Amino acid sequence: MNKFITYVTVSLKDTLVYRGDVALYTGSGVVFTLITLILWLNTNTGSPQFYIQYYFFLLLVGLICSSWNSIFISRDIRFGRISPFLVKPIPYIIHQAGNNIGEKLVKLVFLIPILLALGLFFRFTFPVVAPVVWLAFVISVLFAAVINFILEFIVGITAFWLDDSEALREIYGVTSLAFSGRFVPLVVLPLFFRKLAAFLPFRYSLSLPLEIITKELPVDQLFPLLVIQFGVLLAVIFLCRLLWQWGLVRYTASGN
Amino acid sequence: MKYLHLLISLFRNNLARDMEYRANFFLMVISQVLWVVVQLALISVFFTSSSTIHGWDIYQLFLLVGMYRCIDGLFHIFFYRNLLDFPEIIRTGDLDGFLTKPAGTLFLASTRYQKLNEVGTTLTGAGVVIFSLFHLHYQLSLFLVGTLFISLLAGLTTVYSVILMFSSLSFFLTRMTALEAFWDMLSKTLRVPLDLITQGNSLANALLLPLLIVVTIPAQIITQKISGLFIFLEIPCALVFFILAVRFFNFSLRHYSSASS
Repeated sequence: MNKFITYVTVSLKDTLVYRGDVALYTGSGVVFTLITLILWLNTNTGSPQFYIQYYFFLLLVGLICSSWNSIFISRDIRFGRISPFLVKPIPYIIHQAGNNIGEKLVKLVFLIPILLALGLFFRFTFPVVAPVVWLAFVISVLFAAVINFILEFIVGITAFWLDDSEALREIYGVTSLAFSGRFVPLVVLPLFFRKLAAFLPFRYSLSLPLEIITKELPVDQLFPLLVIQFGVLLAVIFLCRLLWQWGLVRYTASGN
Repeated sequence: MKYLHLLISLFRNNLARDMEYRANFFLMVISQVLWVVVQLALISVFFTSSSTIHGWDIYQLFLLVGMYRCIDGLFHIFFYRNLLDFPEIIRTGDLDGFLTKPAGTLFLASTRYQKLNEVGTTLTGAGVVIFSLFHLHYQLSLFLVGTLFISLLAGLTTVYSVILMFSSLSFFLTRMTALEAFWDMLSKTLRVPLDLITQGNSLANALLLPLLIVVTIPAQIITQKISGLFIFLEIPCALVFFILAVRFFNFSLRHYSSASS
């Protein structure tokens, strides 16, 4: 645990050196969500407050669950840079997780004032929900963050088999955009796509907590859905471990 | 002529490099087609219970997206990697290599690497433009082809100029990795009708002019939301931005001190 905290602290300090960069990265995420919200508000479809709440929470949950490590992992593998980590008494994934959490903590500091300003501008009101829904929301956000991180890690380690995994990352990106609720809420998708989304992991990596907090789901469905999300979490962890072990068998770093 | 030969040589060199990872190249082309399909599908969701968004119907919006994809694809093919690598080549002093070559520094630094697997973006963009024009019942005319051509050229020049200006800031700043985030923000903004954001406000229009002339104004001209005469605004605006960007680059270059200096 101490080693993990050290990684988080190092990442935090490293990120704080380049505050301007991080602010711009955070802003980039906000712009996309904001434009999508403006599009919805101009359609005069449904309740504006629903879309405001959905995209407001999307900004927050999207940041907490965000992961961008696949490109760096695939580069580390391609250029043999994971070798030093293999001889360290701490797994490579922990190094990546530390980096992810550290950077997100700094981004969160930039996001909060933006959220407050947007909240005032769009007259955001918190949804009135029971404490159990808030609890389910928090648990679901944590599960989603881990699922998203592991999925990104899995995409990254495909570099053990592929010379260049850029195309795979692109395909992962577009599928995730369509089925995670990042662009449009899954509830407004046509029925076929909604059913398809239920069988893909992307819903559980972002959309589910948003569905919970925006009252799209009845309270009696919360527990079964959290169990499914936990099942997805276990499945991706298992797959990740398996692929990592297989990949390491294949791994030959340059110079070895 | 010398520069055309140089560009062709660079093109051959980049194609040979891309073909080393052939599977990735073709998968990238497929993924770009997938991006467009998903993007259009998601846009159509907005129109399930509303026939227009701020006066734009679904095919007009597709036209705008298609035009954006064309510019985005061309920008990625020729300039994206070069301009985004700019901060790094300045920081490491690798720009020295460009300065000592018998060709324009800006030309070499802007076109050295081409991302040819982005051809899928341009082609699918062109496909979406044709698809939209067909559904909007447009006849092929000189005005239409001319407008599209001028718009593409002006849009590409403007995007290049805006990014070049920001990349040139790397001569003064230690690190500018956020250039990628800036591009990301810009590209996400450009693919929607910006009159949604400006809402006809003159100040907002003036502030966002460099972005408006990339796709929104051309799409408005073609869909006859504004007068066709606005096309004559496109060329001088793009030229002004280009001249400003080149001047700023040359000014910044004077502040360059390589890593070994």
